[in-house]
Amino acid sequence: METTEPRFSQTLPPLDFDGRGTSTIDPAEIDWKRVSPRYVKVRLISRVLWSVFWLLLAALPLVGSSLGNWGWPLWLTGGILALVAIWQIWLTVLVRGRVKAIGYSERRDHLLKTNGVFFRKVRAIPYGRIQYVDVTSGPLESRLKLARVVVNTASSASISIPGLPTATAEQLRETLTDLSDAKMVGL
Amino acid sequence: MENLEFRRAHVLSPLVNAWLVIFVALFSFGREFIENSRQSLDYLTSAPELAGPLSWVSSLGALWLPVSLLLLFALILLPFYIGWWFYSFAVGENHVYVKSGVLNKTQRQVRLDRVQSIDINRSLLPRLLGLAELKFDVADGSDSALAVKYLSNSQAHSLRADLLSQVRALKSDVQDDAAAASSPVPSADESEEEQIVRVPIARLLASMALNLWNIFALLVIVTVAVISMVTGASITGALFANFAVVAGFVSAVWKRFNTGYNFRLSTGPDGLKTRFGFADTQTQTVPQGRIQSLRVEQPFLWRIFGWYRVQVSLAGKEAGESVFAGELLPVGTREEIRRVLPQVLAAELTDVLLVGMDGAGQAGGFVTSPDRAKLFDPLTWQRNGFALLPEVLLARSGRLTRNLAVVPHAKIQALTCDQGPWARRRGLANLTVETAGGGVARVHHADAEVARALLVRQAQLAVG
Repeated sequence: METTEPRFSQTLPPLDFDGRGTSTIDPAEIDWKRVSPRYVKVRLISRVLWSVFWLLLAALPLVGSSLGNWGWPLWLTGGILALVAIWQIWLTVLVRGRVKAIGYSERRDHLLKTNGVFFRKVRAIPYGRIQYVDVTSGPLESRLKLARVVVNTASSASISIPGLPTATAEQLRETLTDLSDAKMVGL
Repeated sequence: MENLEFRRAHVLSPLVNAWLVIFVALFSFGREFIENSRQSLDYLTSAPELAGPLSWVSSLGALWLPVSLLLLFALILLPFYIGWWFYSFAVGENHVYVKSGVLNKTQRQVRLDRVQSIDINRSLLPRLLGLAELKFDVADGSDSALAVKYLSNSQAHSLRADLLSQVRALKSDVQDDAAAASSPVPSADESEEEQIVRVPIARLLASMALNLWNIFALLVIVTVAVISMVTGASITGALFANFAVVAGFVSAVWKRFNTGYNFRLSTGPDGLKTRFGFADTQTQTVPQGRIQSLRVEQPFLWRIFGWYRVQVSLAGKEAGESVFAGELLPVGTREEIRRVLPQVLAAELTDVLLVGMDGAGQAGGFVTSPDRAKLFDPLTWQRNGFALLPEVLLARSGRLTRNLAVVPHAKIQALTCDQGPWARRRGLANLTVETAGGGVARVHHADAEVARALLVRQAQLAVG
């Protein structure tokens, strides 16, 4: 009995493929709205601050060995600093691309978001599942008149769209709240 | 936007929020003071001679102590009052609005019709000051959408009453399952119920013994004990040194034993009921509409006896539910699973599910990872897969511990497709479907085109 093919599974039509091959996970025909280019500045500044922190930390052994009495070999202390420097440069170079990779799209029934350069991600949340929408902005962001919209559902999954001009963010929040009211589904 | 009247929490709330800091400050200050006063009581009346920027202290004379204490208080309270000043909320027609944050500003809108419960909490200190905390839980119950700390007790009660009537009015417009489920149902007496499954204690114990993690933990503990015996150290010393391991093991075993002990599942007028517990018998009701997703699991060694575990994730929690194990069957036979599953799923599904659970490859209408996923999942690539059925998505994984998640399309909260650089080179991608109550179904390393098509189809099915 267990080997028979249950007919239940046959009643849905097969998946329709959009013929875009296996090189992408973006569904076809989506115009991603991109975030403000000013957001690159926000990310760069915080990146630089972090880089300074990590570089100072990585320079400790070198300074301690050449000025103090740590006695670590130069290849090790220099190596640590060089590795951390390369890592930080790499992250800094990546900032622009990462910001450019962020996109969102308001479809008929869903909010979509994509991000990631190497590790790509596409997330969809049906409007009817939105529980609440937050608009947040840190000190840097508010100086550049940018804000982040965070869409929360009843699950732990949320969509966070950073780097929107404040007006756009407010407007998006209103739209999403209205849409979630209109299309609301009970749990 | 409606005309909103934003208001702040009670003026005394920062005091309550800061109590720990105040307590620590008083404690360290007081200890210092008492230790010093043993030597001389001059401290009480005359100020110490301090140099530099603190020299003004000595000019205060006898007043130095109260003044510096006050300053200390002000210093401690300042950040709390700043936070208090910038936290405000307003109640609109359909939403509650919250603004918070000084530098990191957040504005939050919570839909009233999504509110599951509004609680008033009063711990000792707020009670002494006549304050109360108003807490809102939306669907999930894990994250409080709003917690106003604190309001005066009467304000909290009147606000709660207002909000509750607003929520009720909104919910009666939309008669959904959640509203129906969250309304208190008079509990029927046991005679009306029909028992579906009862887990024998011997089987529970055997299932615990056949858990690889338990075996492993026990081996570690025994090894430690043996080593200490051989080397002549004391066993209790060794066990104390590994206290974290031992305590973790004991508490996990105890929890498993307690939540599985004398487990019974029955159906009654208000839905499914589970009863379990060694220390005391706990009864939990699982209304049909609250089940968000289901998971069947079979740890490796359970295959010997053909046992399975069935778990569900639920939306929200009802008052007084603190520990819901979320189990419909802690350990059961194939025959029992055939009795349990039809209670929560369409009858035809049980067969598909069991075929998928035990099998690999295409059997049962499953779509599995392509051959090129072998590199990523050498053991499980033939098991990893999904079956898209009219009402639900089945996602299967695991070769040794078998896993199968069932997510009804209507319960999907969010869908995610992700792909790393190496998966992209091989044309693979993962799909994750999430529901309320922590339910997750993950399709590992599917063909990227299939994953993309599934994302689109599932998104459509989710909105019906």
